[in-house]
Amino acid sequence: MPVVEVENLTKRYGQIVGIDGVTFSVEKGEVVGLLGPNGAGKSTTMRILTCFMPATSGDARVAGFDVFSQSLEVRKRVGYLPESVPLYPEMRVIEYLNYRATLKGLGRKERRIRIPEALERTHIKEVATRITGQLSKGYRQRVGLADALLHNPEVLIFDEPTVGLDPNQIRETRGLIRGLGQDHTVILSTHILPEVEATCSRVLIMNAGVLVPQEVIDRYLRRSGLRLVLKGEVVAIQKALNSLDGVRRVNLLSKDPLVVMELEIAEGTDLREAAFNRVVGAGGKILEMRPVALSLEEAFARITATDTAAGGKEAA
Amino acid sequence: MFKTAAVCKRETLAYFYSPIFYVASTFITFMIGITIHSFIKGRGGFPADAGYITEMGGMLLLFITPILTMRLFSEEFKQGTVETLMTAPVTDWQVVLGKYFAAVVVISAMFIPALIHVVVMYAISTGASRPDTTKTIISLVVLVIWGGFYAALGLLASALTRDQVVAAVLGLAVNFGFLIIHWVLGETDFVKNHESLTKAVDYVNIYSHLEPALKGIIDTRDIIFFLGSIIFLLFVTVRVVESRKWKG
Repeated sequence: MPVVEVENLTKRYGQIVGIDGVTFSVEKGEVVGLLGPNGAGKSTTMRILTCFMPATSGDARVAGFDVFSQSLEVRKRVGYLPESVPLYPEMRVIEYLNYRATLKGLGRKERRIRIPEALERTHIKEVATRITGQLSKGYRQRVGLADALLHNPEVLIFDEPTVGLDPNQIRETRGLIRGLGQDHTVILSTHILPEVEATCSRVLIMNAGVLVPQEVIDRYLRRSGLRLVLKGEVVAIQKALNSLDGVRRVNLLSKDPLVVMELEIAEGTDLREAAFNRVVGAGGKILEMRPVALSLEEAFARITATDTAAGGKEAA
Repeated sequence: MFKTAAVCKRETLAYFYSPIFYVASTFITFMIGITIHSFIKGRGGFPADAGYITEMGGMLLLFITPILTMRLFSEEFKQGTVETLMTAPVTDWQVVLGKYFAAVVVISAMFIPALIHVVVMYAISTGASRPDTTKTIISLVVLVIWGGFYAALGLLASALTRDQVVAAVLGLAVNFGFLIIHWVLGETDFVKNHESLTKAVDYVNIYSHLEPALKGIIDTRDIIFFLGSIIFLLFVTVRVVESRKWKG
């Protein structure tokens, strides 16, 4: 049974559509990246999943409990890091975590074990007695993470967990999230693509309030090509390759000093041998040949660009 | 229970970290000192009476309570901490009660330095001029209840807006409303000429529910009035907090 199930979730803010008919499910132990440009509806989806606000229509269940009618049960099982990482500025880190742990129903004994554990895991032991209002962004972020981990929840929901961190902290945080994926289910949102590739086992792309279907993402990701580096008569080789069955387009990337071409080819076909023969037949010499796949970044750029061009909905 | 206590503790400590508590407490102690001095002189000397503390204290609370309570919810909305608070497994009642009790604790604590006046009253008087101890205790309890009533109003005002200043002004306006009922409405000829109106005004006039207690008379109707009002205000606050989630 999936740990998180979202069905036809819609949220409207008055006239403005936040998210529209979002459906997805997340299995236990998955680390899912919710990807999308700003305003795509990522935070809205997360706020509904964490019971912060109800959806206009549709269903969302976490660990089998409905986020609306069984909100308390869901909240017991979810650790949430909001985008802005709100903390009480006058409290010390340790006081804050103690307060949060009590709110989450941990008894004195559990708190004594869980709080040092969370401090350790997020590497904030050294700031435990500092006042949260004086912490840097990176530390604040990690205090928020520690808070989310306190009650050892089944599901962790992180809204842009690495925003504002320096490269070292980003690497640490990603490592932490990957580690959490071993015994938790994680949903994280981001608009930074390498983050998804670095941490997630699966990606969901949102754009203008709707979820881009998995087939579309796969289609983009599977769209493949062949890159050739060669010597010879450019026009003749181009012509020879163009007439090859299965080649959609030949892009000339550079002529000097070496000719670099990229073939866009139909998915699932292997044209390496045929292309070799054609080039040789046209009097060319191949120096290098390798298949290229569309990176997630390119796929994302194309998906979000086409949808916007097609008149995507206003998103909050 | 533990969660309510945790919220209460956090809010109480937050007050103790801010200067407003100390400023207000000092001001109260000073003002009550002056009041007792002039009352004793003006009303013909001893027996001194802790009721003086309650009378002046209640008047000061009218101004001070909205300023104390304004941050309780508004600040959570403004800082965004409401997002972590409301996604923790706590009920709205636990949050509202925790914050309310914190306000009552802080209001009571503000008067602790002013108790020096009670000590002085006992110390400098002898025999028949000594304050009546039962009456003293009742007066102090009345003061806490009075503050508790204002605190419930202020908490509701705070839940209505993310702007602390608006919350304070709203609370002040309502508190003044009660003062107007007491000073103006009850004294108009129109109200005085209609017995049913007099009764109605008298019922919503919080001061008429306080006066018997200040004379040392405990009337269950007054207790019910205050407890009922406080519970009702807290109930409305819970609904308001709930509705914020609906509006997103």
